[in-house]
Amino acid sequence: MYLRYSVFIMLCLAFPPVFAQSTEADKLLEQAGDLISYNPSESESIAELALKNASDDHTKIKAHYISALSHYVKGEFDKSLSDLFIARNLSEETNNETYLLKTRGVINHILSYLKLNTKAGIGLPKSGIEHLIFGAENDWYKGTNALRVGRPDSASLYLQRIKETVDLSKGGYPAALNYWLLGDIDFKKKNFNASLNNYKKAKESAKELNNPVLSYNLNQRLAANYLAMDSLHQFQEVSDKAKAYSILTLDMENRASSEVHRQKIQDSDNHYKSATNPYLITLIVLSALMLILLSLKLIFYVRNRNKLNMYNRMLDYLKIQGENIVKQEPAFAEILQTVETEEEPVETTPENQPRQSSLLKESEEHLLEALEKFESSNKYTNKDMSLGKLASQLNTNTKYLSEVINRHKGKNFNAYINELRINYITNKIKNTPAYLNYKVSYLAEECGFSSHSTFTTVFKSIVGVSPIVFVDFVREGIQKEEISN
Amino acid sequence: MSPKKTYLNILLLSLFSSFFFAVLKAQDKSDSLYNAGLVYVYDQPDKAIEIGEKLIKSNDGKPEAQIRALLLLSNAYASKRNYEQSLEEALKARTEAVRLKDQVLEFGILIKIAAQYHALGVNDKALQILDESDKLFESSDKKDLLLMDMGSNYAIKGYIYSNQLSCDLANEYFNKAIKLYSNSDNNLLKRKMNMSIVSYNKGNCFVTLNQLDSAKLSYFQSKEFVSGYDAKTLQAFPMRGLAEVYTLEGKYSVAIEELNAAFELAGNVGDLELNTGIYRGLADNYLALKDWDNFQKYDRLYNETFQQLKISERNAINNIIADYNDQMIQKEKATKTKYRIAMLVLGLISLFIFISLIKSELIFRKKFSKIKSEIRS
Repeated sequence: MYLRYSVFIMLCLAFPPVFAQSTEADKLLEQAGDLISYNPSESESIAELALKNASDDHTKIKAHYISALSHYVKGEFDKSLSDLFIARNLSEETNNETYLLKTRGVINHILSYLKLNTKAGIGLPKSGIEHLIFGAENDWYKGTNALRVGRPDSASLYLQRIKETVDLSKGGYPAALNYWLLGDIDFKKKNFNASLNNYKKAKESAKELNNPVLSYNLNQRLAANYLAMDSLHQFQEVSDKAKAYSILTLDMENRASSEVHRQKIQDSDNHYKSATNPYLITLIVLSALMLILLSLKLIFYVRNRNKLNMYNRMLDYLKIQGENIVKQEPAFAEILQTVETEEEPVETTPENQPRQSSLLKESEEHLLEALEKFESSNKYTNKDMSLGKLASQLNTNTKYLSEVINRHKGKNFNAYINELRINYITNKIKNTPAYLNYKVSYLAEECGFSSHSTFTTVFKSIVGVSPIVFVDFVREGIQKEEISN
Repeated sequence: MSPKKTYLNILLLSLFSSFFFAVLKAQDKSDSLYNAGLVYVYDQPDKAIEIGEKLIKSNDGKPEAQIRALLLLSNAYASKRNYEQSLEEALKARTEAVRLKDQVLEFGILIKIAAQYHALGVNDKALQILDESDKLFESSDKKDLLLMDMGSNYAIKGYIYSNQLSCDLANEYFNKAIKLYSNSDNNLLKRKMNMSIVSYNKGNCFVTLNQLDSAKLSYFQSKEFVSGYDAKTLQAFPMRGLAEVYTLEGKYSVAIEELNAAFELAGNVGDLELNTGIYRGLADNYLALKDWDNFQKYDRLYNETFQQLKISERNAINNIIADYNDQMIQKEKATKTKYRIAMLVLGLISLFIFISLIKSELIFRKKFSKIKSEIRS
């Protein structure tokens, strides 16, 4: 039997991919489950191997569970708990209800053995952990209790139940429990020879398990038995053995308690995290919402302020235009100086003032009249219009013309021309519906700008809004009028 | 159940307190905060840790105070079963002592670390530390000040070997320990108590070795060391040991007498370890006398006390787990409240921003349409 498993394990070691198939692993683990009660070392090795090759969580849980039970049978509660906690956590993560129940059941069972959950009372394997070892343990426990309260008949019934479920010839944990209870019954009946025999059988069954808890208890039972039989020498011998096992048991229990301590603290921490995490997430979402709202507020504020500024400027522009007074704010003039110019603007320094005042008043008035004529002539829509050209048209020199424009119009030649052009085009847009459908580039050309981007910039600086917005605004006004009519 | 464990604890406890005494001497100024910390070490280790951390932060760079605080922390962590942290603090204390060039202090700390490793079950490490302390002892010119701690060095070695069932070796160390304890200048009661404990364990070893006469002698000595002092439990333990020897000699009635005397002396002290041992002994001897009723009575008492003992052994860890759970629940509540307030504040601010957003948008639209109509007019 063992040989078969050993060969299987060797095969698996040699060809891990064969084993990687989860069905194979499941089958093997199932067989390992049967081995637990009488050959826990073997089942532990199989579980370990299955764990190494496990690809899915279910197999891992199962392997840890088998390993935990193997350790349990060997009385290594610390290692058993370590496996159980891993299996439990994995079961929780993967919503594996079956194994969650099983692992929790065995954990509670060990905890009550260790007296680590004083609330839970004496622990018996809870529902869900159906394994041979717990079934036998349960019957053994009830039998021992029956014996304690003086009902050996009832104890014999429980003993019968163990015998029915367990193959005593295989030895191992359930068999040891069986002979232990049988020995206790005989001992109670003062049938010391029979009880001695049974305690010895129990020890023999448990030999392979190396379970310190079991060994301690069986040696103690044997010691009492020898004492009852006046075999002092053997009494001392097994008493010493019991003492040695009690030290091992204490060490193991301390390690197991530390393991529980570690895990319980981790459980508390995890619970804290899972309980407070939703709050934290809500808080983060709320913060993000607040930031979004705040940015929206800022964006809207800037956008609205700009829009109002633009339209306010358009209002100012149209007011001035309505009064038909070409009067520019200094800020406009500054911007306008930078555009659509080929010639250097004439400086209006204080040095020039005395010289200008020396000019003939008459010729200056003459020139102003000529300029007024020029303004109403639409000649400024000519793309080639420059200071030189205008000077030659008005029969004057550029310097003088520039000086006069600067002084009387309050701006340089370029700004002067640009404003004339923009006024011209805005009037067209307002008064000639066809212009509402023209493209910006056409509008630019129409009023004398060679580039459509320069036109847009200049338009915006003078009117306050871009040509497109202006056109839309005028169109909107016309539509509204149509509706109201 | 072996009675050794409690004895070990008693020894370690007295060892620690003797050590604290030494450190306290080194630091003349008595510090009320530190003393408060000492009180909390076993009942409320968290509080002791808090005080220890505070002391470390607040000490004015005085290495003695630093060491004292570190050892307080080490003890508190040990009481919380956080042995790793406990060792870490003790090792820090040792580094300080080395810096101070105070051999007596360093030696005491080494012994404490070894005892800690032994409690952890890492015996090879404990032995390694003890070897180190041996070297320090050899090279020291103040040997007479180190006798008590060197005695504990031998005692711990004795425990380690007796637990490994190497009783011949263990007894050699126990003898050395008793000799050093008796030669040291420390507090007499403390010395006597330690000598009694070591002798009792020596007796146990002789029982294991089946040297019943030597065992008897050791138990008598153990009892004798503390007779006349108010140490009933310490007297009762060797009486239980003696009873065990009588049982092995077949003198069941004498054994029962001895056990009853031990129970009379210290039974009401409520030391579960002692009581478990006495009940087991009584059950055994009545069984041997074929007094079935008494056997069953004491067997039942033994089983009950044994379970109580186990519960009491787990009490500390159960309390620590429960305390930690409570702490985390409190923390959870506090955090939730904090988050709720933050959520409320954030929610209100967001609502405020939203309302002001809508409001300013409405104002803007009003202004905008006003401008538009102004432009058109």
